This record gives sequence, C-alpha cells and structure tokens, in this order.
Amino acid sequence: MPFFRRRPTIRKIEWVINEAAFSRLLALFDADAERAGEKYELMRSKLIKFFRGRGSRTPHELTDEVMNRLARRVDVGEEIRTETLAEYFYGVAHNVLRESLRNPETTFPSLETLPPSEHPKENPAQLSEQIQAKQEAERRLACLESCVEKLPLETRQLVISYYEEEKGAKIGNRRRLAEAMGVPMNALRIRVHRIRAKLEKCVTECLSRSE
Amino acid sequence: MKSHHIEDELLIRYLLGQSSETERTRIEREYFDDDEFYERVEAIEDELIDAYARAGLGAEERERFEKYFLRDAERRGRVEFAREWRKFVSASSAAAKPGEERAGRANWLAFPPFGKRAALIPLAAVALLALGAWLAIQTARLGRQLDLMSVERAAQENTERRLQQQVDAERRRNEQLLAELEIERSKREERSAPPSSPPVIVSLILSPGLSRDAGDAKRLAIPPEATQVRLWVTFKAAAYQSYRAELQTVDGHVIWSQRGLTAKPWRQEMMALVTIPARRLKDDDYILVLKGVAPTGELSDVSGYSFRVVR
Repeated sequence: MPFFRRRPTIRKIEWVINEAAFSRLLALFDADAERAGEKYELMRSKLIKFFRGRGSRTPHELTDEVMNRLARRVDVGEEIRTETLAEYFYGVAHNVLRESLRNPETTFPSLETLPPSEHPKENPAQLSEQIQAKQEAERRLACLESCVEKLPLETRQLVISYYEEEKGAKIGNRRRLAEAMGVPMNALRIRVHRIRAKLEKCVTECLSRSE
Repeated sequence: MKSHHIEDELLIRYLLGQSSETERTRIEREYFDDDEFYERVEAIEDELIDAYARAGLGAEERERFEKYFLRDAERRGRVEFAREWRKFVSASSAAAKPGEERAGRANWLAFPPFGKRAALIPLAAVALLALGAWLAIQTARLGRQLDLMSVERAAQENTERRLQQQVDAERRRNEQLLAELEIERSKREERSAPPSSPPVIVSLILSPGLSRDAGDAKRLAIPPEATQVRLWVTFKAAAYQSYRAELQTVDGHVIWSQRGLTAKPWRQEMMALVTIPARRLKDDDYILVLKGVAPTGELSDVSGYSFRVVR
C-alpha cells in the first residue's frame, strides 16, 4: 500500500519508499535475497564514498535520495537493465549531486576558495573535547579488545601479523604472509581490509551500546 | 582485471581530493562497476589512515589529509580507530616473548596456505593432529598475553576510576550550563529586538506528550517576519548517538525532517534542539516525532510532541 497521505486541500504529494518498492529495488541487484542485500549495502558504500569525495556534507542523505529515486522509478514500472545498473546509479548520483550543489550548506567549500583564516582546523584545546576524547579512547580500546576476541583464532593471527612490523620491515612481512598463504599481495590486502572493516563496525556498535 | 592500470598513487591523490576531474570520474566509474577495485580503493584508504595515525605522511600530504580528509566526522572516527588499533597490536607484540613470538610466526607461516587447504584433504588425519597441536600452542600464548594485559589494565583502573568520576561530574555540569546558556541567549535575542524589527527566531520548550485536543497542545505564536523556529525538546535518556526529527500534520503526513541531531543532558532528562524554517509552519496543529538512529541506520521512535502554531 502506498505510504503517503493526501490532505483535503491541494498540495504536493511526497513519495516515501514502501516495502514493495524496496523489494523491487533489491531484486535489481540479485534474485537471491541475501546476495541482493549484500550488493545493496556495497552500492550504498560506493555512493557514500562518491558523495564524500565530491565534498558533500551529507553523503548519507544524498545516498538515501539516490536509492529513493531508483525505487520510485522501479515502483512506477520504469525498466532498468541490470547490466547497466552501476552506470545507472552513477548517473543518478551525479544528478543528485548537481542538485545538492545549488545549496551551499550541503557541501564543504573548496579549500582553494577559502581564505587561510577559514581553513578547517582542529581545536583540541577545549577542555570538554579533551575530556570526551580521552573517555572515547578508553571506551574504544575496551571495545576493540572485545571485538578482537570475537574473531576466529586464525583471522585474529592474520590481522595482527599483517600490522605487526613497522616502517621498512612491514612490506617484507606482508610479502612473506602473502607467499605463505599462496595469494597475491593485493588479495591479502583486500582480505585484511575486510577483517578490519568488520572490526571497525563491531567497535562502532560496541561504542553506541556503551554510551 | 581492467583496473590494474590505475596506480596506488593516483588513488591516494583521489582520496586526498587532488585528482583532476577526468581522473576522478575514471576512478569513480571503475569502482561503481568493479567490486574488487572498490575494495582495493577501500584498502588503500585504510593504509592512508594508518600512515597518518603513525605520523608517516609528508608535510604536504599531512596538511591535505587534515584539511580535506578529516572534514568528515566518520573519517575522524576511523583515524581514532587506527590509533587504538596500532596501540593494541603493539601491546600484543610486546606481551609475547621474542622467542615464542618468532616460533609462533614460523609455525603459522609454515602451515599449509589457506588457499591450498582443499588439496590436503587426503592427508586430513595428519593435518588435523598438527592443527590441534598448533592451536593449543597459540591458545596458550594468547592466554598469557591476555593475562598480562589484564594485570596491567587492573593496575591502572583504580587511579583512572577516581579521575573518571571527577571528569564525569564536571562534564555533566558543563553541558547543562551550555544548554541553559543557549536557551537564555535565544530568549534574549527575542526580547532585545527593537519594536520596528520583530525577532526572527522564535523558541519553545516542548515536553513529551501527544494530544489532538486543541486545548492541551502548547501554542507557538509566529510573527510574519520570523525566519526560524527553535524547538527545545526534552525526553528521557536514550542510547543513540544521533537523532532524527520529523514534523507531521495531525493526520500523520511528514512535511519536514532533520537528521544528525544530538542531545545533551538537561536536568534529569535529555534535550535536543530542532530548528525549523518558519515558512514551513502555517496556522495549524503539528506533531513533532523524535527518532533515535541506530548504527545500522534503523530508526526507532523516542518521543512525540504536539503543538499549535498561531500566526
């Protein structure tokens, strides 16, 4: 059932994504629901990275807008060929970005146009920020310990070994790891990135529970 | 793989916002289309963050990183994670004895590579015994590491607990004073405007409660010249890092929303500030719904407020 209501007086109808439209959107990614969900989340990450890279202050909101627009098109029966899905998302993302650039509050000003006095600076001297940062670091360490504990033993070994050495020894260490595992360096790099992304997500969830 | 020709150096320039429009578009199209390339970009971003966290960037790169990359709050959080992770790995390495560490690593490296494990199935019995022995050694080593870390941590906790209590009390008091100051400032702005130029900001404190009875709802008088409406909403403490406010008509139609709200302690409760453009509010009854945003993005209702606008 469409998730909108119309008032008695004439006004513009705002379309809000409903469950059926969202299911049809997911089906664009894959026929299997679980794989479709993973690909949907991956596309969301790509969109957020795109908007962030283009200077948007609200990458999550703009990503939601892209998803809503595609869901609406699918909902009204517009055909979207899956072999061009990535291009389609990229095109809609560009349109949404262009519209958002008309509102200066949604983007960071270009560094080149800012006078030096207005360049973003960190201001760690504030007492409350320092106190909060210290508390945050302590909670983060506690969460990190508990999240690492949850990793399977071999995964824990892999990710700690990958980061163990400093500076010049690090490259040699990682090359030895890749050789021992029988995988190219890039594959090892991506595997470790996935483990690290899981740890970061676990720590973020742990921090939100501990507040 | 089609994206092999894009060098790491170019990707770093992209991440620091230094690539040309042509390069940027090329990289974006590539990662939209190729999931493995996207993960490579993510992995390089990890390495860039690590380099910054250990002060391993050159002066120009560091400045660019701080001015461009760290504009985003999520990325600042990732830098904090990288710092803590680096400390954690150093502590793990330092806690293990050098001889055992090298032996442990040699055993791990000598173990059949993950990717070729399937080929060892015919030797499964021997492999399982070796695996069991190796796991026992590693478990004992990690247990010793954790014990040492627990002892070190316990030794610091007593002193830190006392300081923590002082800091918590000071922070709560500070935040409460800041919230009261902001309310007072808003009220003074309204009062101090000369008669010939009515105040442009209108404020109202709202407590939880939904009522469709016009007599019960709080009234908000908005003069024609007002540009902003500030609603200070109070609610019982809820464990969310950010909130979303939705302005609805009484029949449930959402006409405006605001994300990314934060809350501060206010007396025995919490308080958040919702700023609505005055032009959104007509002479009518409204409901403001405050929702908590979970890390997964899921929204949960926290509280609702009803008020009537009079123009």
